[in-house]
Amino acid sequence: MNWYLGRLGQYAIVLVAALTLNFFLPRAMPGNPLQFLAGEDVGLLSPEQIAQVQARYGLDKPLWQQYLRYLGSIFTGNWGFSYQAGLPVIETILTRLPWTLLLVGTSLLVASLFGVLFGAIASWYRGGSFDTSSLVGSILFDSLPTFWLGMMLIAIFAVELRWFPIFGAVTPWGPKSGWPYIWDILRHLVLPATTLTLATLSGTYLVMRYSMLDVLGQDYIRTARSKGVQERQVLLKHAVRNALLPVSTVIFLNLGFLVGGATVIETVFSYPGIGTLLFQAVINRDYPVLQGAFLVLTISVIVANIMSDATYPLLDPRVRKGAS
Amino acid sequence: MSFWRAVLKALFSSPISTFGTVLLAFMIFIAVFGPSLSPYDPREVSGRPFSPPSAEHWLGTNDIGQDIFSEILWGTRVSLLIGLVAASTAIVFGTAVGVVSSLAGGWVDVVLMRITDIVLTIPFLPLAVVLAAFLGPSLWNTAAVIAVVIWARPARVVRSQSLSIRNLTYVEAATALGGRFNHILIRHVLPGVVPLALSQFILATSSSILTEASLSFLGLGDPIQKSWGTILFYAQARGAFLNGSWPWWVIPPGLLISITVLSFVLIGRALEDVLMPRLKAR
Amino acid sequence: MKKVSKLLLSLAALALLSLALASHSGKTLRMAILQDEGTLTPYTYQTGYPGYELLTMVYDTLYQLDENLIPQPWLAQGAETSADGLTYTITLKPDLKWADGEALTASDVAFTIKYFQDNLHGRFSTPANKVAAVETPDEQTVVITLKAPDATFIQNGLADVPIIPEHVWADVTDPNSMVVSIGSGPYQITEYRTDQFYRLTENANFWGPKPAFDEIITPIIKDQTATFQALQTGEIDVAVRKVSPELVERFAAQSDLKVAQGPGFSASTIQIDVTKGALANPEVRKIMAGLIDYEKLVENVLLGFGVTGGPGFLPPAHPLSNPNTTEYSRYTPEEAKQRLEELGFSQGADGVYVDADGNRLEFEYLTYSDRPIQLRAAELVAQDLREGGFNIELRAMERQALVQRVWPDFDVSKGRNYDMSMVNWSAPVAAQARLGSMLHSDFVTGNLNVGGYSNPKVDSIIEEAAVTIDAAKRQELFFALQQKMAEDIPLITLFFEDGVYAYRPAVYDNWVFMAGQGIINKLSFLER
Repeated sequence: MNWYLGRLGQYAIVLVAALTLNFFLPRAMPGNPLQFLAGEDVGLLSPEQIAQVQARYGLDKPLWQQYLRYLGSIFTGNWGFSYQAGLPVIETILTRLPWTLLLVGTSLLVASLFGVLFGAIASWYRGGSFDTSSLVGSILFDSLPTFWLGMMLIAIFAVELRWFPIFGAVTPWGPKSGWPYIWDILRHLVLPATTLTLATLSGTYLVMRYSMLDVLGQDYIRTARSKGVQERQVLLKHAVRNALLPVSTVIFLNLGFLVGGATVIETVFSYPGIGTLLFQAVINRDYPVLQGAFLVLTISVIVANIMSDATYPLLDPRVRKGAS
Repeated sequence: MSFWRAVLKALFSSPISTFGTVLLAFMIFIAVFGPSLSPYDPREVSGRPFSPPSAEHWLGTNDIGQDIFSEILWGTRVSLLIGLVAASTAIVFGTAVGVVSSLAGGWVDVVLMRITDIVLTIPFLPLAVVLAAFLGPSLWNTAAVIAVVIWARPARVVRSQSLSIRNLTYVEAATALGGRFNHILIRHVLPGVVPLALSQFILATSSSILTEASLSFLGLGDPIQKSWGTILFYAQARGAFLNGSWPWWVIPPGLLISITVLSFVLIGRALEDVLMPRLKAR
Repeated sequence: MKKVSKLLLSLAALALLSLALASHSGKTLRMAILQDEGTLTPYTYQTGYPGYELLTMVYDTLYQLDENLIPQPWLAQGAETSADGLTYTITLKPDLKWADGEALTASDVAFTIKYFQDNLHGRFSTPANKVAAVETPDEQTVVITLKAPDATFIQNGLADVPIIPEHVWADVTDPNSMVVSIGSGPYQITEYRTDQFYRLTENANFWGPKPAFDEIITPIIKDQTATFQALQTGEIDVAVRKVSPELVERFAAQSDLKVAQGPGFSASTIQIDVTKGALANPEVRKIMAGLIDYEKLVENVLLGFGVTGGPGFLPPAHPLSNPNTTEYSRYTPEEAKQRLEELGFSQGADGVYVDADGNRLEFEYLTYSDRPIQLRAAELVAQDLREGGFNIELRAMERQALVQRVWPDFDVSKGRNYDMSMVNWSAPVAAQARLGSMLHSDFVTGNLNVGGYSNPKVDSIIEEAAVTIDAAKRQELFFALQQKMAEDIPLITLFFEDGVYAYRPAVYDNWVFMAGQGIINKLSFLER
């Protein structure tokens, strides 16, 4: 139990640090959100009018006061209004989050399934042609810049072959309910999810392969085999199950990182997720949205970490002992 | 000396690592001699804009008539340079943090590791985006941004390696006998850490090159510099996918990025295998 | 013979088919816009283009600019101006209604002016604040009295400020969080999904010409490539995004797409801090302006789709443009160096010229990092200047960061911190000939004077032009002003990009190209 508390304490520190960074870093960027507060023709305003705009958004107060207000607002859930859209930040984020979760969730699921499958097969037939080709393949895909991969997929499958739509998460004027709607969403999901899957597949695959090789070398597997247990049984019952342990950690960590790391892919595919929201907020100095999106991302990484921490010692008592 | 011999051996230890080494040697060759080999000054307007490949321009020309082939040759130097500078900064810093943290222990260890945690926890790309916007576009700033976001992982790995060395019986004995800090550091810890740092450096370089390309693509690099990433930025921004010029404008720089990253990854793995059998065992 | 008749038959069939298609699908338009425009009220729309154009589809103004930018009565039947230029008596059209069925009366107009005076708005408060008093003698008449005569009040005020409904806005204290958007324009918003699209539907209560569409859907596509790929594959019918030069040929060649082209007013300029070192010397600026190869910029960067800039700033297509100031006097690198030596500069060891006090002709040149056209132009300009004995350090900066150096907090009284910088002036600056804002030394009048330019003679011309209502006299003053600009070179105007737009003619082919503004404007969406 102590171990859990210790980890939670650490994450609390990380969270506070992230929150602080999250506040000061955007404000340290050159430029300010005036243009988005006062509209395009901000240049026509008099200095008094500009001061008035800043006062309306509390930007005239000393930084430490703004900081305290910001800290308070995190807990009240009143994250303010987006400078760009004029909508509550929470609302803006909540309309974006499902898309990112869908994209990341799908990719992670597919990548994990195939990563585990390929990893298990490769290690079982270690040194065989599947092992070599999948190993080389995974390293190859890992070396491709993800945005470039996405661009190529668009060029080939959306522009030349026209199999899939080019941008967005849904057809704006398309069906809004029932199966046609789901079909529409799936069609839009294919290319970005494929890109993200290819980009994450190799990580899971490599860990699975290593971990399987490790398990297969253990005494109990040898014992099982020598006892005449069927190969299939050995593979499924003993090897894969035990090898999955480190893989689960990787998957959880991936979840956290992907939520933020999907930015580039969301940009390439104009996918309306958290990543593009955050990127746009940086460009436009939309502090409230920037803070909100960053907070959500940080929390998701921390939650992923906690989940992996929480499951790991449960499954493997050795770690719990060693760590405390 | 034997260390470098081991490194050399690792580079050619298997067909795969040999392949990686040859690829990398090739890329370094281009980086060094590319500018003198390139048919044009890549800043010179040497043809009509958007020309397809021809005898004069092997990969056609870009949006203002600069030779794409020459751009790519020059870009090799910039991209490799950013990758190497970012990675070495990150590794030197990360190694220092890792070693100091493990040897000093106590509150120093706690503070340094918490900071490492923070950097590891904060979403990577968004942090890079915010930092890049904060520092403004320039070659060195891009390298700095990358270094800031990637030093933490090597720091952790080095720390645990360094810890396990410190806990070796003979090092513990040396410490107990009142061996000086510097002595222990130089005599025992560094020899065990440097191979690890080297392989981490190779892997960090590959991710730096990828990160540079992503940042440039998002428009957060320095578009004045001709790196592979900025070539792709312009290609995307000026409609390479719409006017059909992507086969010679987008594919070559993308492939070069991949080849370079691949060579670093292959070498990095080979080094890990040969130099740190212990790491593998765990 | 047989072959021909067969061909004719199939052509006829095709024509019938396309007619059928056109009449069927012609009622919905899918138009890609650039970004989210908030709740699309006068306070929450985001961009001057296309945000303001979308706004005018929902809201009406008293006057409406026609395709030649001449204000025509719109909600107003007409206006009488008093001899002193201070009082405008405006009669509204009869039986005007808001989209929700309420009557639109003179008191809504009075309310609008008051509201923009009380609640700061970047664009609409400026003309509203010129108003001293508003009276509404009856439901159809508004009498506006100005604080001072203003030659541009109809164009920049009455034809620009959207009239808002009093019954909706009366209790709104925070207009920036306003979510209800009700106007009197031809369309109303029936669906809005943040960052995805708006659905605009025909307003049955609209008083004027019939809207050309039942419905306009505006997907938000931020990425240029995605936008035009969608246009090519038929996912959208038109894009508000200007077609960049490199794509024009491609689109023009595609049979189901059509390209509309016309003069654009958005200006790419080099702003110079004219108070700084050698840059303070107009002769040096003249040499710099003379070294730049404008034709090469238009040819290589814009691929010919643009017009070269001149010292008088206003593009040749503008009615107030002085024909004598549309071209810079040019120097070859040798002439430039010779001229520099005459001015007391000498060539340093590295080829860069230095004046007697040791000031090197070495400048940092800022440019936007996210605008490829301007980046490329800056690259070429820097090369031209280097050949003439200057040392130019090109630096790309993120937009907000650049603005903070050139125009801190959008307030020229806060000074500036740059040598020279690429600055893009949006179309309205040239369209409304805001030379006074760009050149007057006073911080209030010269609120766009980011170079710190100051010339008492220029100031007095500007002040005179501001209160001159007589058109011929006003033009004379503007010509004189541009002559002064040619002497002093307060800024260097590189080029004006043409407005080029692509659309699917099968869906709609009745676009109105508004000079300098393009095809996306209110008139395009109404039947004529």
